Amino acid sequence: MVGWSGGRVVNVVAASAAAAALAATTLTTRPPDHPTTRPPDHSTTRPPNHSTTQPPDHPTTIGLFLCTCHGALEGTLDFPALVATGKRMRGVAYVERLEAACEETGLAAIERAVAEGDLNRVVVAGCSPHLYADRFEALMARLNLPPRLLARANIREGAAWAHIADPAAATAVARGVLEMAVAGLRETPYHPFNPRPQETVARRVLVLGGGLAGMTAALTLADLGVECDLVEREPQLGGNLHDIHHTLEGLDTQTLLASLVERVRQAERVHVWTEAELVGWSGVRGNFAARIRVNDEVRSERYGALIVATGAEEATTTEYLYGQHPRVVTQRELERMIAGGRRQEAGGKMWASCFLPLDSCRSVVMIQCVGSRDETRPYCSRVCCAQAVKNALALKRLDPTIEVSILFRDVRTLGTQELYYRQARRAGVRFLRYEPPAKPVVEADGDRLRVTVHDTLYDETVTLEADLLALSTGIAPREDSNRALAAMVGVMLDEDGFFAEAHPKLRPTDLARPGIFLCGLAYGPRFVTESIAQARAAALRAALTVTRPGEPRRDVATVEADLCSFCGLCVAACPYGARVLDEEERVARVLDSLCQGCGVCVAVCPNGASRQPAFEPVQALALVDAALIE
Amino acid sequence: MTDFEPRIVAFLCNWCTYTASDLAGTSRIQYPPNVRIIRLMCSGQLDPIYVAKAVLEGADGVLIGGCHPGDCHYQSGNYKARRRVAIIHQVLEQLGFDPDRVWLRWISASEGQYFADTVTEMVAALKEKGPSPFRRQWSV
Amino acid sequence: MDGWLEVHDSTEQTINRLLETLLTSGVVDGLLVPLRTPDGRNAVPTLVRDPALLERAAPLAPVLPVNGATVLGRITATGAPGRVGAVLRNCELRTAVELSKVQQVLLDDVLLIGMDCLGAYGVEDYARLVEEGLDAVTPALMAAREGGVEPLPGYAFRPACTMCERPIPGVGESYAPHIAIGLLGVPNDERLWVSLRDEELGEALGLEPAEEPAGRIEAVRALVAARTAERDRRFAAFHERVHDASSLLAEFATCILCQNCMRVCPICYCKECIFRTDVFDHPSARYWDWAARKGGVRLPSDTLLFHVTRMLHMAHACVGCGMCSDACPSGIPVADIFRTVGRAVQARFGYVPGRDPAEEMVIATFREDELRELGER
Ligand SMILES: Cc1cc2nc3c(=O)[nH]c(=O)nc-3n(C[C@H](O)[C@H](O)[C@H](O)COP(=O)(O)OP(=O)(O)OC[C@H]3O[C@@H](n4cnc5c(N)ncnc54)[C@H](O)[C@@H]3O)c2cc1C
Ligand code: SF4
Ligand code: SF4
Ligand code: SF4
Ligand code: SF4
Ligand code: SF4
Repeated sequence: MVGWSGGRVVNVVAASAAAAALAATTLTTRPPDHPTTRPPDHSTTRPPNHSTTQPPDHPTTIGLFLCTCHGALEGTLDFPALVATGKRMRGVAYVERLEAACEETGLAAIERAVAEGDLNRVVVAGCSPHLYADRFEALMARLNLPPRLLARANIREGAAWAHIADPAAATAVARGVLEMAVAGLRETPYHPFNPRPQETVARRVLVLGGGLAGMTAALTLADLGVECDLVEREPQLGGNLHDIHHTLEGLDTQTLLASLVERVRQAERVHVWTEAELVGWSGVRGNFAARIRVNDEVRSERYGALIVATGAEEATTTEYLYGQHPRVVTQRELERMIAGGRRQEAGGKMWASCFLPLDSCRSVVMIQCVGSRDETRPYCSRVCCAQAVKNALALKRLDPTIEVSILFRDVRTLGTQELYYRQARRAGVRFLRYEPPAKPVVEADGDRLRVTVHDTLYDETVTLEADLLALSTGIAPREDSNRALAAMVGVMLDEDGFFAEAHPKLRPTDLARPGIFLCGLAYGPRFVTESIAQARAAALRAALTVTRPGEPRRDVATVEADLCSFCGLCVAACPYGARVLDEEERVARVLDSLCQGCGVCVAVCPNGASRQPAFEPVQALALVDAALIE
Repeated sequence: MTDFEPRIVAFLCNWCTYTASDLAGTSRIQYPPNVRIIRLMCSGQLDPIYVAKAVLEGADGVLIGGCHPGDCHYQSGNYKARRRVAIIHQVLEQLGFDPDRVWLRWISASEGQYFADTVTEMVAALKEKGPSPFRRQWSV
Repeated sequence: MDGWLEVHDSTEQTINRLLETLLTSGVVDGLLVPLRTPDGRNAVPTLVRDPALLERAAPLAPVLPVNGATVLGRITATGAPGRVGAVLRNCELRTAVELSKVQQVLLDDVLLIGMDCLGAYGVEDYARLVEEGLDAVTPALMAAREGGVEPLPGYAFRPACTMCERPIPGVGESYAPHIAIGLLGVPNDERLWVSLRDEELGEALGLEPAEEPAGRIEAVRALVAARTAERDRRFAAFHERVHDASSLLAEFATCILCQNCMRVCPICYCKECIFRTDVFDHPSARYWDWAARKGGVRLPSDTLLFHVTRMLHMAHACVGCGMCSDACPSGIPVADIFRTVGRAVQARFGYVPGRDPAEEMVIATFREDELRELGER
């Protein structure tokens, strides 16, 4: 069934859509710190949709400073005329002619005039804006004005020199250039100077747990240009993925595992620590301090965010003769046997724990919801039904004559996976339904087993002879270590022992504590694909946390959240992967550290939700208007 | 139409064509005074609404300058600008407006002479065409 | 999988029963389908969860009060808690495809159900027709058997319908829905021609596999040809009317800038159009500046800028649904204009709106080796 998959629980949908959006982003490997360094901008972000007309207490007062370039331009441009026109322009409160605006005397004159005349915007008319940018930016900083309230009117290269042979034309062009500079500034919203305390955000993320979720999160962070430490307490990476040999949809998980481990080991921004453990945690979002024990040595490190990906484990049981009869196994053990059987077929070695040759199995019985959805573990482990169907299909593929019966409570295979369930039916897998308290009864029959069950579908009691009994024991939280970790980093566990989500619908990857994110089995039973999606979503949020509040830069694009329709055009268009879709809030976001300020996202966004503070649409349109003044 | 002086609104990429216009000035390469320049960081920053505004407000010509294909300072902004200009051309043409009043030119930072030549050439072409039908049009 | 679906009772009831099967068997958790309003004078898209409501379902009612893809967006974009089966006209289907590219519709959990579109009337016309006690469905089905798609005597289809050259789901450059129900060129009172994307569903619906009958192929071809001719005639008529600035101004002379055309246009998906933001919230002095420069300024201002910008923003994806023309209080043939312009833009990029959700939106991407003629001297 192409193009649609079944109803998944809401928080999974949200996370996987975020991941899909993220996957669609072109991720570049360009280092976050581009050589073009720019002075800090102290402007605040302006609220969306507010009128750009001046609040009455902040009238536009533009100071226009005309530079003669040591008199060099006077031969071409009619300065008295320009001064006179300048004075007539709306918004201009002060006009002064300077010898050299770029030199100490000129800069001081501007500073004095701004202070005395209570000016709030500055036009410097003279040479090309490509020259002396740093001096004028520094001037603005001294004036306590955001740099975007400075306009450079290029009357030298663009007027005096380009039309040096025709002074009248040159002066006309210069007047036009002034009109445009003034018009643009008039439209630039004024914001009272509000120096933002410089937050120092640690641009590094700690990922706890080196399973599928943790590795995926680490790689996503690396792609987003963020350094991370991946801390795994076992000697090897991979977690549960080692025991999953394929998914129901046929995804080859072992190849996935191998390639993930390799990519993680090679990624420059991912630092892997195995047999390592988090032993201390303090601080707040953007600024956590961690202590990590590696080989009896304790390292200290600062992090901006934490991703918890510590996973879960297969539950064990004492029911149904498990541990007492050699032919009672868990689904995972069966999966291993099947994989081992395949390997043997291919001439390889048998899996070490594959104590039972599959070819002696003519009849296999599976029992679902062992220990799940009862008093001790009331939740559904979600993956069990898929795993059972998957293993049943695999057995049938090995040998169609093997009889397989699945005793279920209700088959919870979700979404598209229902299709595989139907496929299993067609392949001859028998489904029988039991209802507690009438659980199946398992008795040893010498080397074999006898399973008796009351099938509520046909309301009859059936006795099955089995060579092998596979139990779907489900997933259990790593409860003790979860509890210790939760206490250490200051978050909650839910009643089942998994990490509790902040808000199930809105932020499926945030923990209640800002700056701490969650993915994979640590959060509850999840399929491989869901774990991947969630890991990516968590990485995105962590990346946003550590990149957003850095020093604000003037050229960085912004998003007017109230206007953004989440269309993703800017994400597709940004050449630096600096834009991502935030599925939870349904807005586009900018990764400041990646943004180069090209403005492509601004042009592609139809309604101006995407903006650049230094060049807003009102300004651009005002410039066009002014350019047409005759 | 001898006394008709076309007005051109130019949107120039900061890294290439704007720098070329600076170079033209520094080298005292003369070109007609008919162009008013708006500096963009990248030709890819050109929002089509700017061009629509210029055209409907009566600009006789619109010049869009960017880096040569493959040379965009921001990797690919000029390719996106090129698509946008193609759309603008199609729309204007369908509405009965001469699309050849909107020019896209790749002019690199070192091509000051080419920038001046382009403006000269465009002014001549626009003089040929006459004023924009939207000039001083109050009812747009 | 293609084949026949036996008609029991009436055509409409057969379709409704099919919908009911989808809902009750759990293939879908809800249906988006037009229901007759209690007074019967309209049929409005409704999200149905109770199968009993399907009694009022009017999948064939020839009226299009809103573009169904827009409402499909509402019930899917932020994550649907279940699967929805969406009964859409082919223009709505095209719209859904376009909107899925900009995250306004999530097709993941949607089962698309299309059917041959036998034309639609404006909302007012449809209400009048019902008031007059006319049955629009039966004669339409009857004519369709012979390949005819004609309005009732004394009535006219919406202008956009007369020029819609893609009325048949999955045919030509139309996206194939999961279920496509064919009414044209088949004995639609005995059996319906059904195309499915998924074999499984065929079993569930009791489809009898068959080859597409030649009569249907021919009827579809003839309808598409006639519609294409009408479309081209309208394109030519537009160019006849509008060929320079003054004729363009004349075309929009009666525009009252109500922006209805934008509000109902599904492709104008913006949360808030730029013309309704601070960008166009001009300070008074600006009008005076314009008046000074141009001698005067029409108010409200920016009429043509609004329309041209809209074209620049969305004409590449205009699906020709005609909602804009329906909504214009001044009778401006907005859809004719936007389709004409849209067609030219689309042709330049070989882009066909609504063809395939995987096709990339024109404006967000580029190819290095295209449009070489631009930018060079
Ligand atoms: C029994 C079972 C059967 C499954 N069957 C299927 C199936 O058929 N199909 C399917 O799609 N999915 C299945 N899954 C789910 C799938 O395995 C997971 O979604 C996926 O592997 C993601 O796991 P993870 O990375 O979140 O956690 P894990 O794989 O558990 O990885 C967590 C890692 O964190 C480490 N760790 C734990 N605590 C700490 C700590 N405090 N400090 C440092 N490191 C720590 C662990 O050692 C481990 O390496 C099954 C899961 C289980 C348990
Ligand atoms: S293009 Fe604009 S509306 Fe679309 S996601 Fe980006 S910012 Fe939002
Ligand atoms: S300005 Fe926009 S498109 Fe350019 S790098 Fe920044 S976010 Fe990306
Ligand atoms: S005209 Fe443009 S900005 Fe306005 S709604 Fe349509 S696409 Fe959005
Ligand atoms: S412009 Fe008109 S015909 Fe085109 S998509 Fe919008 S409403 Fe439909
Ligand atoms: S609906 Fe008609 S009158 Fe209203 S803005 Fe659109 S074209 Fe103008």
